[in-house]
Amino acid sequence: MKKLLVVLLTVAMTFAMFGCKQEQPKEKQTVTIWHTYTEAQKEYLEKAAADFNAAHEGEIEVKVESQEYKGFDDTVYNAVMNGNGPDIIINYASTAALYVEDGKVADLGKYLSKDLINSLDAGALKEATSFADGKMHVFPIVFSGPVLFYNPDIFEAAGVTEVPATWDDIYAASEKVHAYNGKWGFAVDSLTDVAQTMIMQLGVTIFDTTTNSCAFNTPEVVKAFEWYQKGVQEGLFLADPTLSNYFSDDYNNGNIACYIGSVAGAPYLKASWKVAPLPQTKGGTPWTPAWNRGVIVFSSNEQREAAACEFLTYFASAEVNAGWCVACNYQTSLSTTRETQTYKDLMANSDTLNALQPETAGSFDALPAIQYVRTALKDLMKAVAAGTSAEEAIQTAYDYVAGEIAQ
Amino acid sequence: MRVKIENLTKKFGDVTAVDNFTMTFEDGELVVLLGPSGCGKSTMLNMLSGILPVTSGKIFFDGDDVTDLPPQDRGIGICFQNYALYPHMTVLENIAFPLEIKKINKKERNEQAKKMAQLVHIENYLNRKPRELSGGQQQRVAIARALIKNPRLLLLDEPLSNLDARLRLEMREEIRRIQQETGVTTIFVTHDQEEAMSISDKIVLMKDGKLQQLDSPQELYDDPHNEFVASFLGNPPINKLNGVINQDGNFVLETGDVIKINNPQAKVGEKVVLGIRPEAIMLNQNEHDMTATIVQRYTMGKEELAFVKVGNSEIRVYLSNDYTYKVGEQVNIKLRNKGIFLFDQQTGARI
Amino acid sequence: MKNVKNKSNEANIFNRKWEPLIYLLPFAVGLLIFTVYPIINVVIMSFKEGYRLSGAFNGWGLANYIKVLNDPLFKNAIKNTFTYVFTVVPIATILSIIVAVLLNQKIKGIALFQTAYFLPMVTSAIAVGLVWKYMFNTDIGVINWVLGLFGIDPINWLGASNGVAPYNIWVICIFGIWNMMPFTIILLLSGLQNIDPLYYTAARVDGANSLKIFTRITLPLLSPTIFLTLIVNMISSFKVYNDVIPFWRGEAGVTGRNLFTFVYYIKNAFYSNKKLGVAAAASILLFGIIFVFTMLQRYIQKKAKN
Repeated sequence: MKKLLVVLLTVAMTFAMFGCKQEQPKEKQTVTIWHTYTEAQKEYLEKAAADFNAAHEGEIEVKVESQEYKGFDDTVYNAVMNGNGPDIIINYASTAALYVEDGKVADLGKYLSKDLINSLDAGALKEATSFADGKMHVFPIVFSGPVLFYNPDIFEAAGVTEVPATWDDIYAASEKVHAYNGKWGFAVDSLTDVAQTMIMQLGVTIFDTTTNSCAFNTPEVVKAFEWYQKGVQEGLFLADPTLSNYFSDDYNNGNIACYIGSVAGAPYLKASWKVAPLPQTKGGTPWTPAWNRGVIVFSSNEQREAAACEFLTYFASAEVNAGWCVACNYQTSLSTTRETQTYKDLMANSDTLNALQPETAGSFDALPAIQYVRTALKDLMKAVAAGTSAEEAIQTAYDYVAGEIAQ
Repeated sequence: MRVKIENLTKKFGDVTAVDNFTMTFEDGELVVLLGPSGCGKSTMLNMLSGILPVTSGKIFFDGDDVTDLPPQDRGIGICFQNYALYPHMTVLENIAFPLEIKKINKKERNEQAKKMAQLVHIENYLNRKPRELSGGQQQRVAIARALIKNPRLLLLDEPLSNLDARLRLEMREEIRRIQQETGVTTIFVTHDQEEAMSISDKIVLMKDGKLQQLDSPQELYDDPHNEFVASFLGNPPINKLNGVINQDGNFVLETGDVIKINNPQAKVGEKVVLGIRPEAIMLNQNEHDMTATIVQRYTMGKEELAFVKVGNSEIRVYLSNDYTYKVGEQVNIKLRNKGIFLFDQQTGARI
Repeated sequence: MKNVKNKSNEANIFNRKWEPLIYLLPFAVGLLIFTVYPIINVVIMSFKEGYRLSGAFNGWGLANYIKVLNDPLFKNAIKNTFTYVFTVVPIATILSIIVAVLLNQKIKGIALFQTAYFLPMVTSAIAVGLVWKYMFNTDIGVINWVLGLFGIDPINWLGASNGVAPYNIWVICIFGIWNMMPFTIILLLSGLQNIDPLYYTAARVDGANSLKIFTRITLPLLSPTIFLTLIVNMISSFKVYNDVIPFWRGEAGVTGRNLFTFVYYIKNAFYSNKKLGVAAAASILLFGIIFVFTMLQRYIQKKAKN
């Protein structure tokens, strides 16, 4: 009887000790990053993770996993919804917005330091906190955007002496180019961005979050779209690429003298090119679109989210972030990074990056409804180019957004 | 209609399928083109129909040169080996199809088709599709279709080869009946000698593209022009013995046994083949031309036959019913005058 | 003795009814998991309102169907898809029959033509589509150049004027016909080669001309194959999607919305808008339409046969 009691006590104690032991030291956290980067960017990300792991030996391990580029967004979405997704991806606020309703993205405000958050550019911070629940679900670290590429040779030959700075300048330049070679002066690769830019520069709200509907039907906006329509109809602007699916091919062939496209398109330009910031509206508010990319952390448990944010903090630290900007050819969204020599060197040597302007950069709110607004604006540009009156096309955009939101 | 063929030749590359044929068939005759596979009989038929162009030579129908006429202008009806009935048409439509092509109105062509169906005894199956008919019925439809245009010449390409033995006998008689009722000149291709013998007015026996003999079945059997003709016709087949002619004009086997024959053409010392039809052999007569030993007995139908050993060769003989022969028994053999032929060993030509 | 043994064996086989089921099992399981289950799931999904991949949804009802049927884009998709199906399938079938009959002739150098006609099968529709985009170009395209030879003014195939793009649909129809022909020709050729040439000989001996042979012999004997290609092609045409992609940078027509098709609509609802319930409802409607038309065709075929 005594013997049995001793055995039982021993067993009970062992269990108790084991239980205590498990709770005391912090459990090692594994954080998975999914990405589609290749070459230099992949190497940089892996090196950053390795450096971070070395500094957090035994506490946090960051695993970097390559995924196929094709269908990546869907892969992540499906995996996260089924509970076997990654902890971190680097993507747009609009991507994070898809997960907010289901509570699948972590609130970064809980984990990140005030200093780090305060180092964000105003536009980036605004977007990062523009989610439906008002929380911060993405931490922007870099941005790129559309710029104006122009062919200085054609401009010179056509007598365009000044680089177009306003939409009216674009029109005037296109007239000259058309008169000179009978071809097109201007084209738009990113239709949504140009529509958004024109409206924002007029100081008009595109989507009213209080009424949950479009709010940009003003006479000035109509005029702005009519400007594009007139250019297309008069053969000054090229609405659709003629040679392939990309305006870069038309540009390389000399069919267009200038066009608005992503800074990332520069390597594909074979004709002589120069780059300028996006045009502004005369008498309007300066505004340019920024494509902010940041770290998104998916919901798990507090420790794991904290561990992910630990890596986020490291990845957003000035030198690491500057290196990432170099690897990706992006501008940073962080004021601290701008102070580093690495970043200063990058900017000093890049015409394209200098054409992006962080001071005027803005973006859409990160709301699910905005995806319909994007589609509507793109279709709006296509519709006016096809000859639909601007009023009618705007009405179609309104109806489309309203119809999709209603469902 | 009278069919005349002059020096008809067909070559496929280096192969001569039909070699220099000249022959004539009289109006209303049923002529059989007979021969082993690959002898050129189907090629001959296809040249007569116009499906195949000739290499050289001429074909005359009733004196008209039709050598270069296309099939549709020759006034012929063809019945193909597998009948080639259109599977999507009914029996009536199949039979009437040649008239449909001639743009004869539906009422009239159906009437004629029904008459034709009565002639070939398939009037009860007019609305069936070919796949719902037996082989013999399909054959009748094919013949009706070939006959409906009132052809001057009816060509039948191995018409009975797809039928089983019983149906073959029946259809053989039917074809003969239909041919006689219509009186159409008919050319019939077959490799079956029995079929040829029983149905035809005339047989064209071919081998390797060459004409062997053109005669009535009986003459062909009784008076073969060469060894091939003799051995191709007849069931049981003709017995053949190799030997030489001795001083007396008799036939001597390799073993030295002598068979008495009576052939003044035979030259002394000539190497010959002696062909003996089994029915030309009489057993155990008082007179005998040679002796032999019974090796094996067998029956064929109601006939009883035996292999007997003569010299080193075995030959077939009929056994009479009134005596039971035992294997191993010695028998005397006497030859009749009819059914004994001598052929040159080298050329196979009749001596 | 032998007989008895055979009999018992036979009895065994017929008693063991579970045995064939075992042989069928691997395929049946695959079918259940990868075909039946997803189909049932789609049906269920189509009745869930506001369904998200996380599994959450707002409630049951017909809202998805109501949304689809009231959506101007879906109405547009119906119009476009039906125009496409009833243009492309008949024209492609007729042209394929003609080409197949020609390819079935014994002509020297026919192999070259055979290869040429099957080219679309071995090339990527989207890559070749870009070549077609060139050919449809208003100013420099070869199609307008050829039309010009007949005195026809250049047609704005890919573009629009005054907000309407009447020729966009014909671009994908022409491209669709070109894409559909090779496979149809292959099927028809194999059908033609199964026809005993003796039928042609028999008809020719009876004096039938080529036209008569074609209408009375070739066509009826080929009709089962023709019906097969009609059904296969009609089903695949109702699912037209790839043919739209090459011409307008992946968008549905020059305005981005004028060339919606069923599948484009489903894809848009599913991927772009993440409206899984709407996509499911549209899929069920598409399934219903294809089902009705396939049944209708089979009914017509049966009628024609008798």
